[in-house]
Amino acid sequence: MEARMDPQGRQAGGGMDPRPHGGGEADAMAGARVLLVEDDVELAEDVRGDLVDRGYDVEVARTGGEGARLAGLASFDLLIVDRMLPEIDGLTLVEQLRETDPTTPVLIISALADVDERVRGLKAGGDDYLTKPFALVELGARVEALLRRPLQTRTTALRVGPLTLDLIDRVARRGERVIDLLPREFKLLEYLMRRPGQLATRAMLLEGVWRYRFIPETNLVDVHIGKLRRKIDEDGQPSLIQVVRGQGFVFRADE
Amino acid sequence: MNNILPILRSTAFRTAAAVASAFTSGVVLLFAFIYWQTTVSETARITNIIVSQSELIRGAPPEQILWMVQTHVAADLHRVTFAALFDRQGEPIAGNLQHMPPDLLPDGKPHWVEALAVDDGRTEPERVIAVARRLGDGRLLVIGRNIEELANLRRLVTRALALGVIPAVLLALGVGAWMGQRTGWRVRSWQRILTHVREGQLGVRLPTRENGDDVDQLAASVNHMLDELVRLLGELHNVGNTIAHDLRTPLARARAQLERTRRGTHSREDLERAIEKAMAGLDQSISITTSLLRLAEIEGSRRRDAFGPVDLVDIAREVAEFYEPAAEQKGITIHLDLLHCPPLFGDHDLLFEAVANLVDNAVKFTPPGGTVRLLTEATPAGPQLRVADNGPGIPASVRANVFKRFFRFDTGANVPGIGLGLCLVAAIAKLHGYALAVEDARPGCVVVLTCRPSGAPSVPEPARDEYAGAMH
Repeated sequence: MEARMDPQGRQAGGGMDPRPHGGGEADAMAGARVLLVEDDVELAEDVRGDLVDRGYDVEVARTGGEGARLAGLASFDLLIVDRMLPEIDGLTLVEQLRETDPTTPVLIISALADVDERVRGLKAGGDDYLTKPFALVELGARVEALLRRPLQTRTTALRVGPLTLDLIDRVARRGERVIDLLPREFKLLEYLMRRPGQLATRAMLLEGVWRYRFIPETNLVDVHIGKLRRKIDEDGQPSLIQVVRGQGFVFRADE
Repeated sequence: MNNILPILRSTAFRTAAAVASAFTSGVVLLFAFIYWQTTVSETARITNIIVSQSELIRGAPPEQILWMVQTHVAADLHRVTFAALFDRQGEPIAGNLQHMPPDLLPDGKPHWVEALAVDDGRTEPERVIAVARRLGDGRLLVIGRNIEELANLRRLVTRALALGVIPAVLLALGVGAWMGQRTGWRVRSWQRILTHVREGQLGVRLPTRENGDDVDQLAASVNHMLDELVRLLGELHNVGNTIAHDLRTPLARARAQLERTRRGTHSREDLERAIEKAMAGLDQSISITTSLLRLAEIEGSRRRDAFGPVDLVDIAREVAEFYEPAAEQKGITIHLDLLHCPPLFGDHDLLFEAVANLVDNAVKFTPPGGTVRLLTEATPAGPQLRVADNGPGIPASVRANVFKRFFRFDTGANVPGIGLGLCLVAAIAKLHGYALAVEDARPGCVVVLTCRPSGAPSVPEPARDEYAGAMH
């Protein structure tokens, strides 16, 4: 059985456009309700503005108490919670929320970068953890990733565009051509193909594919992607993996 | 009382008190011996003399006895000797006793009795040791000796004891108090000086007397410690300056860029370029801050929760795979020579990060066409990882510096980086108690990480870390 990916119908952006998805007219996620709990007024305003530009419906709470109240009043598709908040601490807020709502994705943003803090945040019920200062692009990519959740196919193969991944035999094919991939390259391709049309940042790939928590000084992800592109692309055809300058990579979802 | 109490508590006074009591015990023992010598032994000597004298006289011919008694008395100019001859009725015949002492039995044994002399005008009886013997003709011979002299001697000894010991004890305590006062004065002056140090005046030093005594040596040690502290603070200050410089330079660039852009009119392309440059400056500052905080996190960590069995060979292989495409792109070969090593007990992610940093560095500094070699082997010192390159190498004179913050050796090749990678490796090695060294690979350099196998005791060495705390 093969799972036919539903193309998102979105153009992976490039060039100077700071947002690859441009607000998305046919975006399934457009209009998703996001609750941002952040006490810094300016940062909250910038994040809210960026998310609104991306087509989300954003509410902002300045304190943990207000966040808890708002989360109780309405249902949100995603929560973005600062780790350190007045009244109720961010972790406590997430823990409280998890008692009644185990599914709504939560992104924790924090000035604390320690591995311990990260582990604590994820244990409390966070789904992702982003350290301040962050690029808005990074935040946007992670918000999208959380809202979409990767394709958890129960099938044995992934097919996006001309590419097919046999998940049992670990074989990649473009049409009839078998692509010779190293195990890590296969994982990288699988990660991207499970999120077609979505931006994957370098940090997301390091965490998701390599499980590394550190950012190497050399830009290794780009080199790995470059090598993968040379293997999967064909002459005269547009590249299947779009490089979004300064942001990350998108697996083209369009046919 | 307030002045005395600290003296009484001082070590010198306590020592003096102990010496005084030891001295007193010694003197008392000595005097006890003298006392014993004068009383017991002297009494025994006297007793022997009078017993033998009495035997001598009794054994003499009867016609000489009277003469002997009279001579015995007459010869004693000190008037301590008693000798007398009584008839059967107890009437005195000759000698210096008025009458037979009442308690004296004529048994030839010495007795302590009271006796009254005849001719010295004394009316009080004297304490006497005396021997009485009946002679063959029924007469009674008494030989004795006054022991008042002994009692005097005893009194003399007791007085000497008092006069000798009490001043000696007082003297010892006095000297102790004086010494206590003296060292107390020194200690208090030290405390005053060290208070200044605590308040931040690091230039002051404890006074020394150059006499090499223990207190002086202690002062010298404290002074040496202060010198070291000043030196470390100086280095810390330099590190702080370097951090400030490396953080502020990109911020300054970003700020200048933005300020220039705000003035004047620009095309959209100019604006985008300016914003991008400014953001690059900010990003560089952020990545330095992140690295410094990460370094501080690792250096400050005593946490071993994440420790578990780690395979050095696996890590080396994985790192090599991670860096392979980047090396290939630069025309560098990564050569692996991985021999089996016993498992380590450590933090896998941190050790991976350490090895990755070493390889990152090696790839960065190796010219195109070069080779980076990763070797693992079990050595007597423990599992060892070597990352060697055939780049320009590092001169021996600066090798010790490569693990310091922001150290960048100018190789001529303009290599990007923030100079914290090896510092991070050093921090991770230290957390694990592993040894890290840079050696000459002829050509190039090799970084050697010597680990401890998982069974070995891991004692985080309290080794001097010149930079610990720089970011705390």
